[in-house]
Amino acid sequence: MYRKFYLTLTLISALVVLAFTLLAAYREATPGWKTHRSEYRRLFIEKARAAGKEAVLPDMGIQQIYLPELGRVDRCTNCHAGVDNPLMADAEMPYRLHSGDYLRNHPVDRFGCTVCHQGQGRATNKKEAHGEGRDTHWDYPIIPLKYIQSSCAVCHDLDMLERSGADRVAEGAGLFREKGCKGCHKLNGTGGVLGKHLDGVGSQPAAYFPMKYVRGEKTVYSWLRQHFGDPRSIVPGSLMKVDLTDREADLLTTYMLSLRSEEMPAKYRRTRHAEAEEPPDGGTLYRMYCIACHGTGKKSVYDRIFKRTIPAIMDPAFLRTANDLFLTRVVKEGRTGTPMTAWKAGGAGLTDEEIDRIISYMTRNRPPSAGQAAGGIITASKISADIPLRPEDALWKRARAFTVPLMLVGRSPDPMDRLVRVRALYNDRDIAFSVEWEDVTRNVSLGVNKFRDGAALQFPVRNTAEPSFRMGQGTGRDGRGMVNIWFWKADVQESIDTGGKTDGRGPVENLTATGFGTLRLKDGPSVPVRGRGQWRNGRWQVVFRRALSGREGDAVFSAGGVTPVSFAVWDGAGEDVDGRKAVSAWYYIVPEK
Amino acid sequence: MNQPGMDKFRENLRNIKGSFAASLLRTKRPISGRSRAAVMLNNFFLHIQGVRTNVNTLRPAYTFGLGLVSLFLLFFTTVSGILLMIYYNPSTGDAYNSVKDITYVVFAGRLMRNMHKWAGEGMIIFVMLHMARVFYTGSYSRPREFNWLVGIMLLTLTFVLNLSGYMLPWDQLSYWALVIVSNIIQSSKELTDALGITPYFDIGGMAKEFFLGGTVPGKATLIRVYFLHIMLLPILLFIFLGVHFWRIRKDGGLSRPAGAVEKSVFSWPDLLRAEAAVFMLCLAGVLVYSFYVDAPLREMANPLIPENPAKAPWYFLGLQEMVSYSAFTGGIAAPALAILGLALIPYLDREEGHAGVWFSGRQGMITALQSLLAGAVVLAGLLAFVIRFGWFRNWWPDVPQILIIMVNPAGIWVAFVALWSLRVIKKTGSTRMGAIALFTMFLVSYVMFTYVGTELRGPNWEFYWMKSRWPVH
Repeated sequence: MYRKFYLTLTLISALVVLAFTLLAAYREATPGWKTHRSEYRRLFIEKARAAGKEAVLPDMGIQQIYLPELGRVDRCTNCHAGVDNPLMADAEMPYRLHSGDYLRNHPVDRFGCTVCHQGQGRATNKKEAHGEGRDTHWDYPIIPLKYIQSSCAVCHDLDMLERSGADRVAEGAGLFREKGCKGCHKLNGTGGVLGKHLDGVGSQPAAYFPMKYVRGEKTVYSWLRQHFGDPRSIVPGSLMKVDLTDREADLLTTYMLSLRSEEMPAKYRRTRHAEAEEPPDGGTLYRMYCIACHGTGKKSVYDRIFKRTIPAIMDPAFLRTANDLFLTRVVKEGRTGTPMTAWKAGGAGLTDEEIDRIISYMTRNRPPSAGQAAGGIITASKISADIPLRPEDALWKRARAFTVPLMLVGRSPDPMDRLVRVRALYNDRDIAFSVEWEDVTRNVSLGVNKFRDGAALQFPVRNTAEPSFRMGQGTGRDGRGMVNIWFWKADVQESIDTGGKTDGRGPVENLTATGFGTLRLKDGPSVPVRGRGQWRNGRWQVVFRRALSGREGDAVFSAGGVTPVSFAVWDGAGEDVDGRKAVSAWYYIVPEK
Repeated sequence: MNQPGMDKFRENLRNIKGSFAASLLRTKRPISGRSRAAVMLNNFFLHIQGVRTNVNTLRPAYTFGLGLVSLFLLFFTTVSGILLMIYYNPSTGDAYNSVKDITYVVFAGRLMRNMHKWAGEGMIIFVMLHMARVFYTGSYSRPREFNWLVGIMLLTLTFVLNLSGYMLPWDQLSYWALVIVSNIIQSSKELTDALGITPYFDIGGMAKEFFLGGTVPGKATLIRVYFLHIMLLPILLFIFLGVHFWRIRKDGGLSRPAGAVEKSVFSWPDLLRAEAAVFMLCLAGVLVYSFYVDAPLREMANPLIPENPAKAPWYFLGLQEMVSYSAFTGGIAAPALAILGLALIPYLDREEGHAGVWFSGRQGMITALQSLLAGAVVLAGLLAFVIRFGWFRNWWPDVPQILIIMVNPAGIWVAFVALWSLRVIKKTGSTRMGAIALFTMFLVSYVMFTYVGTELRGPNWEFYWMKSRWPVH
């Protein structure tokens, strides 16, 4: 039955089976590496003969270097057969002798290849052994030679590498310090938290990196290199600051690739701590941790990435207002609501001693006259007389002035001096503040595309907690994040001064907020905060005054106590309105006992 | 020198071919009817088949050799599997490396692994096709009901064997498939959660933990899965296979049309010739496919890098698609109903006299075509609706989960299949027609759900027309 059909089927199938068995056998018996081995043997004999030496013929079978302690099996020498054969110095790749004298201290049979070069040691064809392309599904492609020194640092310390031929990785490590990368990136326990921590970054698989915008091959080293070139082209919205030459970017990439998590066995490691490492001085620490944001610290700069002004922390004008206590507090605890990191041991990981050293470095140019200055602290002097509301009153002129730097929010910088001078007075009944700042244009009307000048004081409702100085934004809608704001408006002041309609109100509003868009008036028609502003010679001066004891939800002041305060100023000519303004972080009011 | 002794020795040497053949076959050359019968009866491997074979059995267009193909594929996986076992090391540290070594340095290792993989996955396809052949030729009817059940058991074992093999290379595919599968195993948790009894009776969690040997895939899981794959499941499979073959003989050989002339031929050589042809064809197919297509091997398993989408192997993606509607439905209810429905077919349709005829004639073919069309259109519509508009959770985020468990696309589809089959029974007055409708729709759902899960679902289980449109990470 169906005899012919079945026999034909059997015959044809059997022929196919036979053909493919032979094909498979041929393919298996002639892998690419065997061709390389025969070619190597031919070259070897030829070169040995030319050199008049005797060729010890190599074994033609498969080669592998089995390194149990390193957890590696390297079969690279099947093709790279002449890697330790001096006769092969000028041979073609892949038969050529290894460059330099690296193999003298790192014999192939003890170190293999992939421990330095990466790639897939087990593979026996070029594409997969080199781990080229994502379709080889190998996380550690062969490292390009310009980054190869990254592997040296896996076993050697930088101190040793600096002198013995791995200068690129040592230089990269130096750049890492000098550019202040640790200002944002944590490594070995210290460093900021704005960026990704970098422990083990050199052995992370490609899947950890967003490769979408990487051009060319999607490898970790391409990612790093292109990210150093332009971080925002690789990670949109990245806050990372770079200003690197191509060479520096290469060196830093090399250093990044050296940060591997694998721990080499002790017998493979060689370190040389030639001299005990000196603890870094204040200047070094400043460069390591602060310089990326604060630069030289000599002048305040508007930062386009952070979209705010970074204060000039080494400017004498600033230092006059900031004493060590205040600086220590800010450095240790950070500034809520700004990118300023908390650098204490439990945060970014600096010791108290290191912070002290940074502060001594920062304040080395503090004017001697400022020795008494209460840093970040605005003392309110007690007087017995009535506190005047008139800005030009002599009492205000005699009061002590404190300078508070402002940072711009939501707008680009202008040439104005962004500082406010603050004076504070109190008596048994009232407390008052005089706030003075430069503003060359007087903008006192509000309309379409017309903006007014303004000033505001802000206090946390509870003194014990410090909400974000950005109107308590993000620090909780409960009492903890609530702020009390005194808002003086130049247009209302103008109406009052010119006898216009004012609804019987003063120029100051008393408000509360728990973040942007939550601002609301606190009181009815009787506003407890009174105020008066005056523009003269390109400067505004505004006095705010309130009864010492406020109502529920108002700022609280007590003799000897501390009340945090922050300041905001709007410039109408600069189209400032709402969140677009210049603000300060928290300062502290201390009514003198 | 003892001359007669040496003569005897020489003579024995000369006759060695004949005497070995006689000892092997236990009979003379099978050229006469008697010796042909004897050769079949007296051979351990051949005696499970009849001395004579009905001509209908040999008709290529009747069986298409599908059962035999499944058997031979099993044979190839067994042989290649034993070879792989020599090199494979079932520990989380070495499994991946040993598979790499098999690929790179073991002679023909890559080919063996490919053959093992493709023959195994081929079994899924061919066992299902074989089941379809048996079904559409009505071969499950009395007295073959029980063998149909054994067949279902073998189908299930085929699935589980494939799945357990998928885990062994311990690469990213293995690991994340394990995660998905263990979540499918855990899916009754959705129901106990909805009922609020999980803290007292967490059967899903227990099942998952039993399968994984822990709460996440790890060392214990790999050795467990390895044991299943090379020991428990193959033993069960071969036992059921033995029963399956034995029942074929006991149930009167392969089914054939009732009215057909009872004409048979000697199994030697006609049946064996057919079998040899299928064997060769099968080997050729697996060999050629394995020569060109490599079994996948991704990066080494890394619990810190989730694959997105993490997918089960393709043959379970229909279930995973349903799990995306409701874990309980996709993980427990739908597969249980499918297996139960298939198993009950021979007991709910006891019509006789239609065995051995494809589709039981014209009416059956029309019913099958109608069900195919209706099923494909309705299911495509349903899937399109779900993909375009989502389901309860997208419309009312706070809807209780129990409502989704009770009313979800998979459930609606099962209800539609049941109603459609009942309507066919009512309209045609034939339970056989109802069975044809039901089975056709089962095939439609398996193919379509699997297609959607495999090809149309991308990262976050979102819809994409093709893989090339997936967003790049």
